[in-house]
Amino acid sequence: MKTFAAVLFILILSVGSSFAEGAAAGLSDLRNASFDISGGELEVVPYEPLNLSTVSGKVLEKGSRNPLSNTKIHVRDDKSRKIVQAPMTDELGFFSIELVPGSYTLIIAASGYDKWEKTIKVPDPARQDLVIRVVPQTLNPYHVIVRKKKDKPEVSTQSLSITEAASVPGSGRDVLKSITSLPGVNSVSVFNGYGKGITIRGSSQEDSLFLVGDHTIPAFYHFGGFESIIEPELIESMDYNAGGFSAEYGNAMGGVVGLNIRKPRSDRFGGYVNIGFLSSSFMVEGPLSDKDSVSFGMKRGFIDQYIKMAEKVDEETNKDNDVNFVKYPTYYDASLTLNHRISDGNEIRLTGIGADDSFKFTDPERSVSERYSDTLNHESRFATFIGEWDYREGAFRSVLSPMVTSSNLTWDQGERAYHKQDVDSFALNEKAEYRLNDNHKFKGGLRMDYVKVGLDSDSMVLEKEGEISYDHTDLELKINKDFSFFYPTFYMMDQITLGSFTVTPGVHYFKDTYNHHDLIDPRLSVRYNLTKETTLKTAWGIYSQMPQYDEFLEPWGTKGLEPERSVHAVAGVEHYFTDSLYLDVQAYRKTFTNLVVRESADNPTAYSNSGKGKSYGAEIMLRQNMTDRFFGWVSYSYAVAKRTDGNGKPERYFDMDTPHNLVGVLNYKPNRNWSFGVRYQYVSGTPYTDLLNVNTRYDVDNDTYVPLYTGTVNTDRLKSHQQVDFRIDRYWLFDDYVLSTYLDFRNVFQSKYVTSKAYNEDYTASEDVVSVDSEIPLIFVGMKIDF
Amino acid sequence: MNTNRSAFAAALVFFLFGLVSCGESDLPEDYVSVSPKILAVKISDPEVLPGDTVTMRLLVSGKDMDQNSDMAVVWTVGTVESGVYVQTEAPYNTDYPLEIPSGILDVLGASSVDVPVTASVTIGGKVLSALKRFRICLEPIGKNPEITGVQADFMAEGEHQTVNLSQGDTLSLDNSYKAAAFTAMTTDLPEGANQVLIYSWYMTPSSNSLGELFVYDDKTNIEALLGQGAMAAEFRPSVMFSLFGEDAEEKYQKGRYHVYMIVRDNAATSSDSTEDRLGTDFFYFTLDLL
Repeated sequence: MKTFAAVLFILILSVGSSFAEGAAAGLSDLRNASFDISGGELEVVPYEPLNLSTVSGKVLEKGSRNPLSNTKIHVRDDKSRKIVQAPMTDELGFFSIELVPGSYTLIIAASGYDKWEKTIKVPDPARQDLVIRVVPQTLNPYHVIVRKKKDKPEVSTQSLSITEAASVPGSGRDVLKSITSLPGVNSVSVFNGYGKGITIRGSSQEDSLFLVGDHTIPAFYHFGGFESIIEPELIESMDYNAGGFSAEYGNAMGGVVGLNIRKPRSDRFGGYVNIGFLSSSFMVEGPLSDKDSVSFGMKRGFIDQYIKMAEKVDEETNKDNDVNFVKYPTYYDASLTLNHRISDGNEIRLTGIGADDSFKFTDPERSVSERYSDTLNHESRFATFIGEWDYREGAFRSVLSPMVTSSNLTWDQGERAYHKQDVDSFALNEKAEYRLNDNHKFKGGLRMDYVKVGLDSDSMVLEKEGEISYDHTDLELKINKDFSFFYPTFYMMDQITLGSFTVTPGVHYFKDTYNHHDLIDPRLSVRYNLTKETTLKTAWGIYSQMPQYDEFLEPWGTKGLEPERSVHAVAGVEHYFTDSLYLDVQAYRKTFTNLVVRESADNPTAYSNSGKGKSYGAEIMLRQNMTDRFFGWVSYSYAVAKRTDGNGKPERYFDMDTPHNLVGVLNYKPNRNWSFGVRYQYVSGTPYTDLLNVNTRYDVDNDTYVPLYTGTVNTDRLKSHQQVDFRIDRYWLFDDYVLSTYLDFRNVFQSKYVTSKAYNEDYTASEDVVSVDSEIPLIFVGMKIDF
Repeated sequence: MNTNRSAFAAALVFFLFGLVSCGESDLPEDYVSVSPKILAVKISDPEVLPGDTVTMRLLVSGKDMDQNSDMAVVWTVGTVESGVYVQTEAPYNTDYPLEIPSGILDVLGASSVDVPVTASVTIGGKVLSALKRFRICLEPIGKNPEITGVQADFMAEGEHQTVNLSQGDTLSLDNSYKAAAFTAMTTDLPEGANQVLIYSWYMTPSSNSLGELFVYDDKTNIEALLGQGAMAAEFRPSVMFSLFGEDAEEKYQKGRYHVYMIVRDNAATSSDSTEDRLGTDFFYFTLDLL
């Protein structure tokens, strides 16, 4: 009845002079009008115009400008002190309210944000759309994409969000370095990436896979270790798999570290500018259309500027032996990501990563010989493009990922000491999975790698695992030839859940077409959900890996070498105390066979597969995943890694055997302006071979002393080490951007971190080589604007 | 492709931090012979004709090393596989002569052959050895560089003095001299006999005190002694030693020091080892700081 009356009322009013204002009131506000049609005769009650006004706008997070969707806005009538409306924002943070004239207070009390309120007058002719910026209680300068937890059958996986990875004290902006704080990982680092690489459960870096998406890239660091090429803002998260990994990954005996590339933001344009200790960088990203988004970033290193400044200081000391830079060390990198959404569950992405490093200098103090000049020239550059077509249809998912890389490297130290290589790589990786039902999923993949290498080199043999520091300077390995390699790969996995058991058998196949070997690796993992919170897990598998290029490519090495093989056995338990706090305990044993070893020092290009070894250990980790204010973990790893270098040879420790490694990481944000992090590590020293005062042979024509050591290697051990790293982040929140500064102080107490031994030229004196941060306060500071 | 670039890049980093006076090594400089050390093997000549007789001489440094010592040097010439193989002992203080078989190249069927020579001595239970090559060929051109002497320059109270030293001489200086410069003098050989000469200076710590000499690389003092534009370092024809410790800022380093000068002949360009220049000469004297 009321509706009918209302319609009639509108019709009547429509002929009146107040039509416009009345219509604007809308149906919903007609409750404010009164009329009476009783008695059969329409009686119009005198109308008082409502003068409804629209108040609209959007609600954003201050600083990041992220829209607050589905957020309630309370409208309080200042006269009655009552909440008269409480509309919600839409997906993009927009809202619209219609109010009669008066004074109102808008109030937003969203979870995770400071309470916001503002008094407005209605109508206010000056005001158009409101832009409400609510202040977050904590800040995260990274654009985080929330995704479902990966359903992977791995038993030794740890994942780090980019916020966690970039906040681990001592890591600076090197996300890869944060991996070294996880259990089972050790890295003897002189400075940033310099050192002996990342060792995972006793396996050296060259035995592990380091992936960007589904592919590897030619380099992760500028100048082999100076600064990370990958900017944290390019990454969404990292997965670290210490061993016993599934059949998805092959040609690796160690572990797998995967960097997952982030999609560019599609809601608006944004980016950052970073000015740091080693370099400065920027990135812009945003939507190109409803379906396309793009990001582009660049970085430029400062090392050349530091050297120029240092040269000015050195000039005053008036020395005659200065290094003369023909080309100052410079490095750049760039990244590009394009994302195209074809439809829901159907996306294409292209990621490009490139880097350029170069320097050339003359060092008059450098020993000069027929082979080596006093000038060193280094150039390296690469460009990698990784495509990814992610297609989901019902229970089926396919990820097709092509990759193209072009790289070249020049190292030139003389007429007969140079190495120039041009490498073009092409890969096509297809991963597919089909969910037959909730308890059964089938996965498979196919991969083709084609590598074309042009080599022009006159070099020496490279030092191998466990070999003492020497250089066959009298042995010249010349090569000027093009090679091509083709590696087909496929894998299959069947993930079956039976009650509390999840069983995942799989097999990985890799064909080494150059050495003519097939690598067939069966693997199995089993998870048993003891309770909702507790899972028992175990994995077993064979892991094969083709030898390194310099070991099988003639004249450097021996063609036909068999793949190195390892058997992993892992068992463990994980228990979740809360959704984000859990305990992970694992024990493992790895046996190695077919390890490539140099047959004899007299013929350093002859290799065989006669090496074998083992590693075993246990790891325990208590981890609190990232919350708004806090993340951290405590982990302890016990590990033993031993090997023999051929039949009848004595057993010895691997170079990176590290019995004890205790790490604690804590990051806490007391409020939105500050974030504090501290990292503690105690780690055993690594083994070494003491060459002090050993017999030597002076190679007169090459002006080099060669230690003549024939005993067991790695019988001594460097000092254990403990250090504390500290990090502070300070944020300033502005309407449209966040300014942040960070101070990352490595090895706060400058404890001596012995990374190796150094000797004088004839091995009659030695000293500990310590990390750079043991001798000088290494404080990385930077300023970043995220907009 | 994995390439071992990190060593070079690491060198760059240490250089960078070295410039700001951090991370410097406490190891003795390479030019300091802390303990007995082989510095050179001289073979006359580096290129010889079949049938020639070559002489070989070893130079071992050390603060207690007597260059007139008759300790045994084991000379191993050639390899069993090459058809030339001789192993014998000879006293350190004499040249070891070796006659090259006249038909060696015919036997080997080659126009030239590089012959490896290993010299070994045992000092204090430690075996020191050195590997050097010489070339047997039909058209020998390369010659050993010839050090004819060393010129010593030193200055006290503005008075510049020069002394020419011969092999085995002893130069005595007192603490009125802040530094002393030494310049190797070489003979100009026929064209092609030498190409690029590489100089290396070495010295021992004091044999009768705890004194140490340091290479003094201050340009102002170098030019004051050796003239405008002169350069001196342990890798140049001239070197200047501070007699007052590092940077001439410490106490007078009284003591007896042995100083060695090695000259090697390198090829101007060399595409493989057959083009190497193998010439070597050495010189030694004693510096007595009274």
